[in-house]
Order: sequence, then structure tokens, then C-alpha cells
Amino acid sequence: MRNHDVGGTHQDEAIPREQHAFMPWELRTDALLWILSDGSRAGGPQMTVDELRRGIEDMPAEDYRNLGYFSKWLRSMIAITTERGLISSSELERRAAAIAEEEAREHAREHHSE
Amino acid sequence: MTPRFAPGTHVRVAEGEPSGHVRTPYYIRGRHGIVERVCGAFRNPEELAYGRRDGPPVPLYRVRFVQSDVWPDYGGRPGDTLDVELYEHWLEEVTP
Repeated sequence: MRNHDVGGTHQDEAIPREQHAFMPWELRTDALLWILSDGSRAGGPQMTVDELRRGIEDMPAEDYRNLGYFSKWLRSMIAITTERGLISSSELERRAAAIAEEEAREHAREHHSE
Repeated sequence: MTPRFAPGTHVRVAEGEPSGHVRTPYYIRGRHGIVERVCGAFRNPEELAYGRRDGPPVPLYRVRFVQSDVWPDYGGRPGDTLDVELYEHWLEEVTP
């Protein structure tokens, strides 16, 4: 039995049922999946929801238990698009570093003008 | 693809734990049920999950199970049923 396939198993913890507000990054993750899985684009979709599920199910058990819904999506989308050669992990790291740098600069500027 | 099983056919769900992405919940494997309807034929999600999109459509069935057959300690009413949608390659016909 795999990590995600828990139907009918016993669960001690109560399942939290209250809805929280979506964070901007969660909405962007959802939007990005819609773009990637859009079948009307030339050449077909870049990935399918079936692949999204596979990417989520293949996560280590601990990540599967601890990560939130959209974190799992994002992790899977990175895994599938990397696998497909759409992006590379070094490209992703470079972009993440550039964004972090940009934010740090922004922060310093704000601090300076105070 | 012509469906192999008509509504009313008694079927058994395959057992086992294949690796990779599958669409048959663990709890229903090895159980016996009755085909309630043919839902149509769709590309196999177990292939789509690996980016293979050129496979033939596979018939999908809604199969009805008796709850007390699925859960040994089922506490509900005796006649309660459970419907699960299952692809043809997970099913084999059995004599009732």
C-alpha cells in the first residue's frame, strides 16, 4: 500500500475541516497548473493531472504527510517539468536566487528611505 | 474499444501492489462486485501519468460492492452498497 492510498485505514488525528484563505503563491500554483495542462495549446498539454498525481504519490512518505496541498502540487510540477526537460533544476535555483536577491534589494531600499 | 462486461456481470478486482501510479484503491482489491454500468472508455490514466498519451481508450465501469463485503467490521445497514469506478484491466469475470 502506497503513501497516498489510505482509504479505510485507521486515523487517530482529527482532520482539520476549517477553510483557510488562499495565499497568493497558492493561487499562482493553481494558475500555473491550468497553463501547463491546457490541452488547447499547440503541441498539447505540457503535463496532465495524471502526471501531477504521480509526482505527488512518488514523494517520500514524510513529505507526503507533512506538506500542504499546494506545496505537494508545486513539488510535483517541478518534478514533472524537470523530468520533461522544460526547466532544469539549476535554472530553477538561479531564478529563485535572483528573486531572493531582488527582494533583499527591495527591502534594503525601503529600509534606507525610512 | 468494446466493453467486455455488461451491467449485471459479477467481477473480481485484481489484487497485488503494482508499482507506480494506479487508479484502483487498495481497499477494494480482491473484492467481488457487480457491474452497475459502463461509464465509457477513456485513455488509461495509469499510462497518462507517465506522459504516454497515444494509448487506446480503456472501458471504465462503475462496480457496486456490498459494504459488509468490503469492511469486515462494517457497522451500517446490511444492504448498504459502495460504488467504485474501475478500469477494465483491473477486473475479471467470476461466477456468482
